[in-house]
Amino acid sequence: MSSPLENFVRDHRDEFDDDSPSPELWDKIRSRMEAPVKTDEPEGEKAIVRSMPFKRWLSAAAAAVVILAGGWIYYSVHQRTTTGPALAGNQQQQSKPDTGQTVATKPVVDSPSHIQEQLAQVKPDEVKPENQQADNNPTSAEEADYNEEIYHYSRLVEIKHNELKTLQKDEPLLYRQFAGDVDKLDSVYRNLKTQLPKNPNREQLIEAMISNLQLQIGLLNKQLNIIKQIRHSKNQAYEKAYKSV
Amino acid sequence: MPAEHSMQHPAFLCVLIIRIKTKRLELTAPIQSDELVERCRQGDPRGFSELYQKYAKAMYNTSLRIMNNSGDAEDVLQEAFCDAFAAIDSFAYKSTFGAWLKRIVINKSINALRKRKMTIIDMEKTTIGHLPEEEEYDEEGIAFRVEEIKKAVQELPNGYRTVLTLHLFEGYDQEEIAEILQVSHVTVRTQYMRAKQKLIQHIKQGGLS
Repeated sequence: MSSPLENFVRDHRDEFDDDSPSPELWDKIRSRMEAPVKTDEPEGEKAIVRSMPFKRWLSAAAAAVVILAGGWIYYSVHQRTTTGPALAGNQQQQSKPDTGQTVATKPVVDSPSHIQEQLAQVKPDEVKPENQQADNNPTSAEEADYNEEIYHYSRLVEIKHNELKTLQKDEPLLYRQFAGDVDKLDSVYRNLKTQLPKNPNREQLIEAMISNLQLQIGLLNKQLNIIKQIRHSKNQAYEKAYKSV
Repeated sequence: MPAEHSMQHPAFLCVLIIRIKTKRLELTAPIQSDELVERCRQGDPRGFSELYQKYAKAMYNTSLRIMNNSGDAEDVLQEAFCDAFAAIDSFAYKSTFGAWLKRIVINKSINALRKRKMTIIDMEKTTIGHLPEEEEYDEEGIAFRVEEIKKAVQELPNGYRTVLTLHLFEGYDQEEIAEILQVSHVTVRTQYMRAKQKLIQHIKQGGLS
């Protein structure tokens, strides 16, 4: 492809660049560069140049946040709709979580299918009981939200409480201790609940109730975990003994 | 704090992935960071001056060959340097700084030429149609001289001159020129061949006269 002309140009390339710009050109460029720094205009120009990649990162970060938030909302809504109806049917039991034992208890601990079963069992005898809070303020949508939340949590407490009860036979001492702890929290909860009709600050009170229920759930979770660990170590000890035999 | 972390985490991941992708796209070996460029980025005013001194002449000649007019070439040079300096933070070492700057100069030159009503010569309508296809100017045996070639280049019409310059002097290949000029690959090829013929014709005539 390379012809004599191309070869000649390649060999003498530097000689072709023999013209020079006028010496004042640099001064023009420099004054243009400096001018923007003094007046705000050029700074804006610079800022635009810089903000382009920054904007891109920002939009990437924003997209990630939106996706995360969307996922979270979907997850929480989905969870609420699946557990919601069953919970609503159990308001009466929720008002006195201790009597929730009517639900059949099974020895399996911490298996989700077990919880589902319990939920399913409870469903048939749901009677649409009137809720205390709903009676007080049936119109407020916010209240309904709160009520739903309270059902949700109290139902969870109940289920976990039932799981804990399986412990009663095996380890009565531990159970008494655990139940005592939960009862303390529960009595606070009931106390709050009795205050609810007269208290003008309903919202705060309901929030307190919810956080109380959350505490109960946390406590029960920890207790169940402890039980699980105990059972696990027992099982292992048994297996070891069995093997050695 | 932990919530903040978990929020930032995916964003960081995105950044990381994009970085990796851009890295992979660079097929050429990474270009060493240019000390002069880094000084400019840190705001050293002498850095800009030195960059200008280093590249001004080559860039001016590049622009001059396309523009064919010293005033226009200086205007282009001024624009190009100002833009390059303003955007020096976005220079990503995908090429050398010189190649990056040259591309800015060339783009600006071509835009200025277009404003001056250069028509990228359509092959059919070219006014140089009087150049007979068969009439091949043989470049063998010509004793080339720099001055003669320069003069002959200046006599070429804008479109031919641009294509010829980009290939012969700036070393871009046909694909790159096609991309710069936004014309087809075939057009570049034909234009270049014709431009070269024309150039040799000028040189021969100039040599005879």
